[in-house]
Amino acid sequence: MRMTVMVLALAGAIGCDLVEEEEDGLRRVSTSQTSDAQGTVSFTFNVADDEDAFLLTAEVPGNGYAVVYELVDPDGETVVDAEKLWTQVTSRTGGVYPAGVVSVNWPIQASDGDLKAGRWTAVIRTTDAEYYYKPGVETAIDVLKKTDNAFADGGLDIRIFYAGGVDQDPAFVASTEAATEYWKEMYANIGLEADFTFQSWQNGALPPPGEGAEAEYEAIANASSLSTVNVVIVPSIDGYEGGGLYGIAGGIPGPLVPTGNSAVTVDALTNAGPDMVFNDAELQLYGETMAHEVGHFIGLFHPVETDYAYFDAVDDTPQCNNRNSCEADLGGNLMFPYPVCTFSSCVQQDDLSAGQGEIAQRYAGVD
Amino acid sequence: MWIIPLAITMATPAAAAEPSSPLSDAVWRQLSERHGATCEAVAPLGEPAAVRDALIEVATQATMPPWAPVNAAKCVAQLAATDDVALAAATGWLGDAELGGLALAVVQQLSALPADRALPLATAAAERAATDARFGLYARPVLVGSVHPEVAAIGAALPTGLPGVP
Ligand SMILES: [Zn+2]
Repeated sequence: MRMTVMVLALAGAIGCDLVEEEEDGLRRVSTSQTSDAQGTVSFTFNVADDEDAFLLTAEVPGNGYAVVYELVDPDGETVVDAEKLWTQVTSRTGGVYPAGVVSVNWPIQASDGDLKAGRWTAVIRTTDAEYYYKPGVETAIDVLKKTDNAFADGGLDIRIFYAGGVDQDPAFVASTEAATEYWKEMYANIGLEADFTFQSWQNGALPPPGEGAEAEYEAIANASSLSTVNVVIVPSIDGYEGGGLYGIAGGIPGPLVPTGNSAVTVDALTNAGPDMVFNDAELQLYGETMAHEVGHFIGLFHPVETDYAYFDAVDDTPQCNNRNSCEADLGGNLMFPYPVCTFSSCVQQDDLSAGQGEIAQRYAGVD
Repeated sequence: MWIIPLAITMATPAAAAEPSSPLSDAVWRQLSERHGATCEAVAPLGEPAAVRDALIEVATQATMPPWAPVNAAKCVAQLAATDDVALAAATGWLGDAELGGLALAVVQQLSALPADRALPLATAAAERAATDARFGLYARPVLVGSVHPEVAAIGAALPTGLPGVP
């Protein structure tokens, strides 16, 4: 792993020194600060002229939560305002919703403009499990900055980890690799070249990212490079053997720095269907499931939620308000919240819009 | 156009084109969502026996999305705690060579069942594992981790890994 110390001692807002390093093509600023009496951590970091997007991640220990409460640009404009975003029916970033690990990528989409150089301020609020602001919480903060303004095309490194014995099952390994070929084609439609590597992972039973296996997910993230998105294939997602989860992302967007949320986890057995063997139609859905979850990880929301009342903030994914119209308008979109099926077949869900591509291309892990 | 670079032949259970009733349709739709489809969400959709029958229909007649029948089987297995029809269905899947996915779904629910209902299903799972090594690969760790010591002992007696795979 390449790591070069570039700039030392950029002054932090409350007296802490920030260290900037270069790692895997990303410039990384890291700090750890304790929230004040109001449960607030405020810190500043510098964005240079040649930097084009950043991914901010805040992590708090144990059963606490954090939110990215405000992000203020060098002109003093609040570009991410959690209180405002909480009231809207369109979702821009998951980082404003309380979780143990929260991330915001900026800019999110083309309408946010170019990344402004200068001093940025991020305000993180720490809360307890009931979402009351909580003081005195040690908060780890990382900012990963990329120098790549080619937002029409980019590459994304994806590492597939076979866990829980999946690596001993040639059928599942072959099916997973076949599904990645289809996944590549879907991402290529938005100018995103997915590059896959594969690795066995000895430990098996894993809950979703952020739900109790933090050390294991950190270890997985440490096994790949910083800019890599990790996808863990398990036989079944621990704690969800009773149903309900076939794939889940560690955030929208997800963190690249190693944390308990730095992965997408996919359940192989439920995707393989009644006979435990992937047929062509199941392989298609398996590819779509993995690409959908990594889509979340690189910042994409469902174009419409299953209540047909909440939406993404993408201009070219139309808003709709009932099942029929939403399935007609958006049923072929990769990020639709459910596959549109009959009892025995599903429509292909491989569309990604130009607006969704704008978001994916700005994710810090895309170079 | 995408071509799967893999030759796969499989026997698919005879699938019905559409759900047989509005309740079956509602159960199937509930279990088809990508995020958040649970047995708890299905239970209120109708009378218990009717929901059970709809779940069995989805498990055995629906093939897409693949997680819908698998999750329906999980819900049926949970019902086997008190429901003899559900228990018979779950037992049948454990013995059906074409339904390894449904059989594993049953195995995953054994800790949610009383020991006297779980034990015969675990025994049937062990019998299947003797001839279905892929099923055994995934069933063994689930059985070993059971809250029921008798079920865990059945799992511990099964071989580990797949024959011929290092
Ligand atoms: Zn989703």
